[in-house]
Amino acid sequence: MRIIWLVIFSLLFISAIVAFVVAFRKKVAYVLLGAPEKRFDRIPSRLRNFAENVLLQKKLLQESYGIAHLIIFWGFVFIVISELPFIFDGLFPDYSLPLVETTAGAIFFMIKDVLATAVFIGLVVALIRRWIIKPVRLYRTLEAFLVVFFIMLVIVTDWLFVGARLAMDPHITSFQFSPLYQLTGRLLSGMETSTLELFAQICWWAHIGVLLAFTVYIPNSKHLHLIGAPLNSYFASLKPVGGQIKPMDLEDESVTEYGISRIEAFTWKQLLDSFSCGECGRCMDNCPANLSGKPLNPKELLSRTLKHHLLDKGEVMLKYGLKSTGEENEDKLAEIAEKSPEDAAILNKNLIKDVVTEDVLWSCTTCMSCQIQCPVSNEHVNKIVDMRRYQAMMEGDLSSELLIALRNVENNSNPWGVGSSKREDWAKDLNVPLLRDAENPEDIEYLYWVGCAGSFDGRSQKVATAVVKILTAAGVKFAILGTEEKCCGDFVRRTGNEYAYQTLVAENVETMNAYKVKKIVTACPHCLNTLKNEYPEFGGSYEVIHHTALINQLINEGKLSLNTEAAPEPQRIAYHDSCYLGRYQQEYEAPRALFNKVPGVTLVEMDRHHNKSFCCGAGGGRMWMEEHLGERINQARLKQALEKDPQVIGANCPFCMTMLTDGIKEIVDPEKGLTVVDPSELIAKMV
Amino acid sequence: MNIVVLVKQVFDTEAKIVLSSNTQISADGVTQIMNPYDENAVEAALQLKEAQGGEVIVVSMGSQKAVEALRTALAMGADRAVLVDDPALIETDEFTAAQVLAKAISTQNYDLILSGKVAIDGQSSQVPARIAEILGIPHANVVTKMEIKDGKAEVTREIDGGIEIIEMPLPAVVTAQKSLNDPRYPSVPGIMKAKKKELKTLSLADLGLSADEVASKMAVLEYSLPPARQAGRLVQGDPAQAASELASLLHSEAKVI
Repeated sequence: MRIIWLVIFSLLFISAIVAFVVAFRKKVAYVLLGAPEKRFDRIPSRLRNFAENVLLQKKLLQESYGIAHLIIFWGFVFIVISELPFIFDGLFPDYSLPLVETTAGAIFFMIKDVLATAVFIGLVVALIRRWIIKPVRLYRTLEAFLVVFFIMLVIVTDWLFVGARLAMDPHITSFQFSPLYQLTGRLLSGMETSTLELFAQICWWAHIGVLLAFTVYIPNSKHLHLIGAPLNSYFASLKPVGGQIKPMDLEDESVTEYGISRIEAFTWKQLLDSFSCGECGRCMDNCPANLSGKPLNPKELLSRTLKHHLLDKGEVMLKYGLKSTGEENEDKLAEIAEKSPEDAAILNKNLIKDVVTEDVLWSCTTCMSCQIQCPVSNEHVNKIVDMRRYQAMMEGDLSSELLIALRNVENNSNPWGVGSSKREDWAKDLNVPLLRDAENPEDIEYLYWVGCAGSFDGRSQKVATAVVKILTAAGVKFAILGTEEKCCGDFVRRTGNEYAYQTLVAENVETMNAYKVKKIVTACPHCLNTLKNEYPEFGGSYEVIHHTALINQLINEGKLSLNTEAAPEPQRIAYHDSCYLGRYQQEYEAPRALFNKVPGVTLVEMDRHHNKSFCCGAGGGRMWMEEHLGERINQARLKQALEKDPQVIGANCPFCMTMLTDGIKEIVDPEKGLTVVDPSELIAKMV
Repeated sequence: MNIVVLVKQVFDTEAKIVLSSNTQISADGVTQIMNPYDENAVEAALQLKEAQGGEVIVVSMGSQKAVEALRTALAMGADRAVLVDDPALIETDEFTAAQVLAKAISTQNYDLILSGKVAIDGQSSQVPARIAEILGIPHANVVTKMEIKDGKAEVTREIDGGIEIIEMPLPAVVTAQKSLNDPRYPSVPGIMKAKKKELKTLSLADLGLSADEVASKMAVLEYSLPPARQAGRLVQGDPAQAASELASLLHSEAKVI
């Protein structure tokens, strides 16, 4: 037994643990400054998320180099387990832990040895990627280097220590199947035993030093990701992608603040996100705002802007024992302002404007790509909506164009501001049944929710007309609400106007429930999403289907037959997945299936498609706002389509249609005759 | 600085006008809003209050429907509201409106009276000027800029082909042009507070007026809707021929040349 070693080791070990706990507790306390949120239910589903995204790293593996992370992750787990026998070996060289000197132990070390080698290679790949290939999305920081360097040192010192031991005694049972240990052992063999002994001792202490330093480094760096990410995966939202915006209780009179303007007003889960981020940059690589030169960078927002502000403000809040810097603590804040103006300056920083700029907030199109790509289940979009809520409901600070759209909704129930009495005018000559005329509304199988675009926008009216023609041909019993329909509220909610949103929802739900509506078909993915995923919170539960899915179903069931003679001319169509049908509902196939049912159509995929599809730029209320910063997103998307040299662009959403059509007018030679079509328009020609 | 703002509940600009009889416009199912120019007047009052203190009182004449306009003004930040609602005031003219509103205003303590430059329904622009006349105070309309200090108002008004800057002593009546300011969007706490603010409804009797003394001077004989717009017509063919056909159509059918 090495008494002195044991003493020194114990002192170092205890110091490291204390340092770890002190730093870690602080971070936990910062996260707990957040508001409560219930994320403790449905344990089996949470465990499944944990298994998929932590143990199996499913999301990471969606990109090829994710394999390097999977190897590093599992290698690291084995390395951590093997630390116990490693430490024991150094402190008690004459004894061994149970199982270590058995075949089982040897197999464990064999796996560990192979994995550690793979980890080492993975780390080299990581270094090459970050510092030689230099993708924009990876930041070349000292932090990032240290993390890789620490793990490499841990592996190398372990190799050398075990190698030296094997050089002295090549027959150690536990390492008999370990190729790299054996190799190092052979390389070191031939040296004097005393030299090897000393060398092993140096390696052991070096290893312990690095290991303990790493332990202390974790809670003090972005590598807290190691703890944050698994927790975040467990606590990930279990709601559908399109139903994650928190409803607000507007009846509660004790609430005086709407939306979020203080970091601690976010929930603990929202704060935990910042510590989970591993800074992989998948979000920024897929964010249309970021890629088109807008100030929003989702990775920067979570892993830098919000996190650094939380670290600064959290420290001062804990120093004064403050749980909130809201109105209720006004007196205390005034007191602090007198004692320490510097501390007060940190506490009084406005989350919006001082920390997150308004341009960042309003750049988001709520396309959800950041969240879908994020391997650690971070929820970016909610935070943006929460802050927009403050701007909208507390400050009334909205762009003038957006205000016009909101007033139009308020006065005429549609953002275009056309008189609400004209809502059913498009259907006048089409014999479209109105629900209010139905003798028995319950006989109507589907409510066709036309939406504002289908009702008022000339281009979308053509899609609505096609839908009517198809549903009629298929003998579907459907009706529309006509003037009784009001804006669904999608953009109203996503621009932070929860009060106005809930007013619209209440009116629509009342109308639909009075008619006992059960099934809804709609051609607008934005209406679809809010009707399907958000209305249930407000007493409106319906089965909602996109028109492409319903039409596809009707054809497959033989209820709608297509006259292939009437097929349009052969055409090459680049299909654009809308965010609200694609990522939001995971419906990628129905629109493609419809296009493929049209003879002569050749469907081509853009580079960004399916869940990596690129937003048209209209979501999250951006449809109603000017785009002053960076490149226009609709043009960026159009250029991606043009790379495939299409004759037509396929779409499934009225907003995408408008944005892409505008893009064509802006940058494509009219001689080319490039158009945007909805698959239903081609199908309608064949019925 | 106490400011009275006159607001009116009107049909939305997109409302479909339907006549229920020769002399009556139907309000069934019509969205009603605060007269847009009145929003500018409310905003101007609120900005003055924020800068100089005082009280903003919104005053309207109309049915209970007008409560919405008053609540909107309260949600924007006005302090209290007065509504004159009386069965005798259902169909009125500008004379009646001015008499009634002037009386209602005179029960308040005021330094300035603001309103929109025109109500977008009747479009007469008469009421504010009439009120100034009844109260014996100065009046400036179509104002694009306003500065209040030392008991005086300096206002910039739009006139044909130019602007006019005038100064007048307070109290005075000022009517707002759109460009005076950007009306604020009521905050949710504002909407919540507005529900609890004072909104007093007065009848003619409460104002000490009789229906006879404010009876309309004017009677509507008939309302009629403009003829429905015809679809456009495209004159096709050889340019010279088409041009001559167009000219003759403009002369004989459209009767514009």
